Amino acid sequence: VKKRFGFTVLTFIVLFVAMFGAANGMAYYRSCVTDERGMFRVSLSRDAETYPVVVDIAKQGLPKKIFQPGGITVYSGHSGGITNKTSDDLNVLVKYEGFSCPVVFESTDKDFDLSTGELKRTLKLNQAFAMGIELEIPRAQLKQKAVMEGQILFVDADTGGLLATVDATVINSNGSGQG
Amino acid sequence: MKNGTKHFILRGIWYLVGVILFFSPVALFQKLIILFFHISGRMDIHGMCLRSTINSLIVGKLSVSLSISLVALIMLTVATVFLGPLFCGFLCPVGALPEYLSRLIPDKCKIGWSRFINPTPVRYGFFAAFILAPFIVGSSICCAYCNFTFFQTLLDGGFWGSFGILGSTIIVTALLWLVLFGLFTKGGRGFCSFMCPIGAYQNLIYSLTSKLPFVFKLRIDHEKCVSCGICVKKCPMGALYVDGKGQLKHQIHTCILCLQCKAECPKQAISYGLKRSRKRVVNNAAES
Repeated sequence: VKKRFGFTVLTFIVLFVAMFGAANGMAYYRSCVTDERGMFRVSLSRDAETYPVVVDIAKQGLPKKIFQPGGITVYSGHSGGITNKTSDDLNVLVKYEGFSCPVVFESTDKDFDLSTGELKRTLKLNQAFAMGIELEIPRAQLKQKAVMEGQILFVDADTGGLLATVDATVINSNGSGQG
Repeated sequence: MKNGTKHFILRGIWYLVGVILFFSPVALFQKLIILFFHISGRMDIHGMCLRSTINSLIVGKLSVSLSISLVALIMLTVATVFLGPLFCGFLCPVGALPEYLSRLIPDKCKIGWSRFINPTPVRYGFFAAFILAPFIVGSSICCAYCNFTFFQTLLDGGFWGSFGILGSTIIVTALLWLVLFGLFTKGGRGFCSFMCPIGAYQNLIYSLTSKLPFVFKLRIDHEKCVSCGICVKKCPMGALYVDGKGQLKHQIHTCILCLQCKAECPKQAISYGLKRSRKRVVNNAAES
């Protein structure tokens, strides 16, 4: 029978504290790599404000750099983030333009149609929904300083009027070239 | 077919039931809760996120409004109080996947962590940080290192299709859960042993309630047990060991009640049920 580490009171405490510290380290690491994703909060209004989002490839964590450096998410968070601030009930359509790479919608909202970008419910005043886009940027492009830019457009599906724009810019602060 | 193999296959079927119950595209549990309680919610594993709900419960931030997660947590807690952590042993496909995959790797390539390290302080250390990290470092490990999320991602991508966009923390989780603590760990449940807050939550409850007479528990009949060590080798969690006196011991803080040991025991020395009264044990001994 082998003596296992962690059965005496002292070694039990040592293991507990070691894992507690390691897990807090993991939490800290998480906060260091938050910028891997671009996050925005949008108020939908008739003034159609523009919200800039910048994602810096150089701030990616090592695992991301190795396995999936070109996969970039720009999103509003898992719950809400895009809020109706007009006094009208809105049927919202989301479009994107300007990105020179494959783009798909993502959303945790069951009413958001990922294929058309249409919110399938009417958004009342102060109600919110969540969505984002996923970019697949080719590796070669990631070495440039200015990697990619484009817009996410929030449109009133009934009138065609613009409600908000997200200017998404992907840069590489360690990259080469102009930017 | 050996009893142990039969039980291993039976558990596999239960884990598939777990996939149908909790994960999209079916997510039957979520659909039933929505139907029964007339509430709204997501039809995937995030709809019944136990990790964030346990976290909220312990830090006193649990929303009292009815949600799928709250119903799931109440059901899990009640089941654990009376039956122990059977959810882990029979219904959690996330823990089962690396266990079953690890069978593909020869034993000599695997590390038997629980042979060298007592997993109990490690998993409770992780659990404590799971609760306290937001207050200490200002950032949570609740969603960032979630293997349930990655399992749902695998299901969404059909296991061989697109994984979607992954962050560094989810990549780290996948490597730990499936590779280091999965494929290359004896029993394949290293992540369950060390890093699963849902398992730690259940075992904490189970360890407190198991002494009560109405709680089902794992029972070892030391008169029948010959300390052959078969159960020790077959336990995927490393929750059984033979102590210095040659007596089989059961670690209640890491046991997931998969009952693989019960099925493997050639002497039927291990059983699962209510605590036997002393009188009945004496009668059983006299009959045999």
